[in-house]
Amino acid sequence: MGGRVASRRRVGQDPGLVRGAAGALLGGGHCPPLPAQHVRPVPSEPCWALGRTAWTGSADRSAPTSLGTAIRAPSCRSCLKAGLRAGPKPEQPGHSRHAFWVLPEDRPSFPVGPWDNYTFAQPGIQMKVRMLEELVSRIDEHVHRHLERHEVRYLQFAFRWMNNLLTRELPLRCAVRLWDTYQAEPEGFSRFHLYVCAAFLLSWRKEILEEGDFQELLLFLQNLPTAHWGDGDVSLLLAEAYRLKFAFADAPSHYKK
Amino acid sequence: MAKQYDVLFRLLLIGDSGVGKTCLLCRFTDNEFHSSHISTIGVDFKMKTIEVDGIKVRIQIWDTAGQERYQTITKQYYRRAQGIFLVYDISSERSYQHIMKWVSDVDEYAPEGVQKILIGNKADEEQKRQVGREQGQQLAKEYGMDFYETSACTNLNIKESFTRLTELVLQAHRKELDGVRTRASNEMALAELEEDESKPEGPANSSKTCWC
Repeated sequence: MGGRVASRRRVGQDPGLVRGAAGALLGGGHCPPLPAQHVRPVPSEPCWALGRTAWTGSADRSAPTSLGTAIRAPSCRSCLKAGLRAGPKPEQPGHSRHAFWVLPEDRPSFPVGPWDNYTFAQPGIQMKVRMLEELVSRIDEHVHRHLERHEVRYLQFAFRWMNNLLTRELPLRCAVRLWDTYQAEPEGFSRFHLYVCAAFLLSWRKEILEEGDFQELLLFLQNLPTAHWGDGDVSLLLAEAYRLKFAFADAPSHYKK
Repeated sequence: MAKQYDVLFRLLLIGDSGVGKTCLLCRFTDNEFHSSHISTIGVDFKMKTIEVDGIKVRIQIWDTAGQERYQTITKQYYRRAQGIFLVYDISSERSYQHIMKWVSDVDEYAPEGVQKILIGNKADEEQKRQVGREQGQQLAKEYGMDFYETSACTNLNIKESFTRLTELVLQAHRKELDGVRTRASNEMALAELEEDESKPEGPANSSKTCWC
């Protein structure tokens, strides 16, 4: 997986970079700029472990969990703790969970904004789960309402889908096939994955609607029967995800209530 | 369909990463043990129905991830828990010392009156032991908790500790449960009374009943 050698990505200095990250997290590179109060000025000290500029200073804990917080909150405590704020020190071993995500520049399809995914409180992951919820509510209101009615929260099952990119949900051969597509697809990991998750959830539509009990529903959603899945199943999943992406990606109000 | 249980409780497993929370749970619910470690992501969920004092208790058990980065997620589950297992690993002094931190989290996020129990897991690893049994007992005493040394591997004290915590929760909620029962019987008595009162009205009333 990548390498620490590649960790010194171009370090952005202007808040525009933050907006770019926000755009990517929201599933579009053409996201309107955030209101100024939501953008924390990016300090000049580069966090080489993240391969980009670190957010220094204390995170504002009193702020509500909103888009703004999600973007500015990660002050990357681990990196700060490890003394990684004192400028680039390529000889110092990086932080493994960050190093894992640091890939060469020529892999633009890898998650944009990993610093939001695998830092304290994982605001990036939480935001993606909320995006999935919003998307499913537009695609299949019936399923969405059913989950809501039985008090099943998306965070209870989809957190892992986002955190591990479905590697825990699918047999290894299928995960490899899936990731292969993510590599080929522009913004595969950061954007297309969301549609795959929606297609994945809705592929269990019948079973979900048949369960009328919180516990059974959650047990089912946390242990989906995919052990027998093969290439064909992943192809179907991907085809459905493409369909959803075309129908919903550029139409944020499509079927919106 | 008859209800399969009388009461439902939510129990929570917390403790450092790698102390064996998931293994405890798998042993208890499925009687399985896997020695390879695969870390929990966020929160896992299992349930089991057991009988305590003749009451069928369904327990929902939330198995949380021990790693620090998941804690904003896992803390959301404290609020609804009625019983909490605080787990450390007897072969890790560090995990034992962190119990203090886990207790303070419970104090901060869990509801008042939540029942707690201290578990020293991996009791089968005697040769790697770093935390004495007395140390565990001492700590449990300090916090007023019950204490068990368990082993998911050899199935030591697993059922006992889960049953004990369920008993504690049941005891703590006995008053409420009794309250529910009393209220229910009171309502029944009231209904009977109303029925009695309506009787003197005679046939007019009974014909009214027919229209319903």
